[in-house]
Amino acid sequence: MVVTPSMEGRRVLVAEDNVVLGDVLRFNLQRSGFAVSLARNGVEALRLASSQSFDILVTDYEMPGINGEELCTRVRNDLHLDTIRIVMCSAKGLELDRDELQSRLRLERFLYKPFSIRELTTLLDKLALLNTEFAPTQLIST
Amino acid sequence: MSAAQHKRSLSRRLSGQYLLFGLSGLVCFTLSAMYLTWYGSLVNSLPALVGPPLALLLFGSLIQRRTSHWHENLELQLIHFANSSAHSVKELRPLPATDSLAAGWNQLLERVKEHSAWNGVERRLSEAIHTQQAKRWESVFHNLTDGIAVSDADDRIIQLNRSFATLLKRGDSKALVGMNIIDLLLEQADETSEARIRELSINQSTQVVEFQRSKDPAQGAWRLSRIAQTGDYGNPTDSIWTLRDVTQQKLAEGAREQFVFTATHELRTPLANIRAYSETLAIATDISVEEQQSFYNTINNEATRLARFVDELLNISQMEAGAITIQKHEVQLDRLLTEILDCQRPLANEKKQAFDFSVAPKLPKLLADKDKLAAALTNLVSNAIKYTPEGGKVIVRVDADASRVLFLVEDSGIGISAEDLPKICGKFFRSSDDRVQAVVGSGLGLAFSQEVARLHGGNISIRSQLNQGTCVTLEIPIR
Repeated sequence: MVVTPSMEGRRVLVAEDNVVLGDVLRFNLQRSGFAVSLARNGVEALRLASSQSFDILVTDYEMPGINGEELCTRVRNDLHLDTIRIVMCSAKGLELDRDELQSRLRLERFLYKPFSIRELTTLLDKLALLNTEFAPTQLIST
Repeated sequence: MSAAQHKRSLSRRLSGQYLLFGLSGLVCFTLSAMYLTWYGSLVNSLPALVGPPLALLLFGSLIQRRTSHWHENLELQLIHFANSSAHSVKELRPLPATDSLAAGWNQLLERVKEHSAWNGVERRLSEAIHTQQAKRWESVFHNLTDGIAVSDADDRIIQLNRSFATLLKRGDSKALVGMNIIDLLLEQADETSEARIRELSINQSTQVVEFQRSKDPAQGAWRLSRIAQTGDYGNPTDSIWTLRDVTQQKLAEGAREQFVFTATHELRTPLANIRAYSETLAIATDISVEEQQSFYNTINNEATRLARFVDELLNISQMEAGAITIQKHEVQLDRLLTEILDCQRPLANEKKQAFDFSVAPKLPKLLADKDKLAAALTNLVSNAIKYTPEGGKVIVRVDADASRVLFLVEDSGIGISAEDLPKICGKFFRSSDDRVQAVVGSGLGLAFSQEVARLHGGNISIRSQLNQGTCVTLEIPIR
């Protein structure tokens, strides 16, 4: 992951076990100016999240080993990454309690697959903007 | 007494006799008194004067008594009959006389006794029938699969059938009589069900609730209904309770729900990929032709995967409806196998698995339904790839003898536990092993493959050891 100053607030960790979808997400996010790290499962994502800094986490719900829910719980509770913005996506339907997940894990958005790539990049752009404009450090200084 | 006398009524006969003997006595007394007065010896001969009339009157009373003897007998019998508590016709006696009164009475008595005898026979018959019916109903009551119990206003059990006791895991139904039915039910209910049962005990209207022993419906699930009876003043009296075992139903519902979730997931995943790649092609117009080509290929692959899943869904729905039929044609086995393996090889390559294929030198001609057989084999091979970790191996072997063809799919995968092995071919069954849950599957692939084998007159056998690997053999007879 090459991070340039223009990528401030745009460091994205993508956790997606579906290889083809992971590849196309990385392709599009990189083209939109994000610094993307791609993890193929929850364990790898957790390892990356604990060793590097990220502004945004895009994670699938269903993954072998550690699923998206557990990944987010550990990111919030164990790694204490309170400011990382999380977008969760899932091919599951009504069996998930979306509102409960969103409030407990403080998710920015929950997307059902199939979702629009354009919608995702627009959303991440907005989140990146929030990261640079209202970064917690700035909030404290003002 | 002659029969002619009876043409007059008893009172007229009595008054006639009374007058006759009374007047005769009076005449006799007067004549004697006058005669004795004439000879002046009235006082001396007083006994001679009174004797004859008295004797006459005594004789008259004897005659009267004879006249009313049988009537008196009848009167006494009737009074006794009226006063006796049993009112038994048997106590009435026929009159031994031969006159028409006795004949009439005796005939009447005979009729009544005859009638009463028939009544007795009828009563005994109906009792016998009722007893038989009651026994039949009792047998029906005890042999119902649903548990039925009757409780009083305080919820104490008055009566219950054997099923009710059996469903509550109590052997002896008689020992439960007198126990509180709510307490008995609560013994079998988990915490979430408890409130529902208590609600049922408070609320007197007819209600139905479902309860489980634990969160897992496999531990036992019941449907309970209470029909409350009310007395004349609307006060609660007895309640009729019906208990039904719905464990299998709950499990089937759960499996079906799980299947819908799985199917939705399986449909959304390739759709998500197709949408993402097609959208990318639309947005990124400046990418190289090679890159475009690879995106198109991905879309094509995902569409194929989607189509395959839809086919599988159709197969499943046919299987569910019991409507799978096979049409046997001569199948060229080597070509069929090449097609299947070519399709599966990329998936094995993706997981860096050793994918070997060996086939007997000369395969016989096989009569089979090519599409169904291909689907069944594809299921077995894709299962082997799915449940074998990266770097493992999957071997497909085809053997044949004079009577059958054996397709062996062997892997070095996660294996199947001895506990799961008997259930593995069941519809919707999926192991609770985390490594299985992490892989998407409908729980119907093996069930479908087995159905296909069965329709061809063959079968599927599975050998497996947990964490070592699995070998599935599909056997199809040649003829």
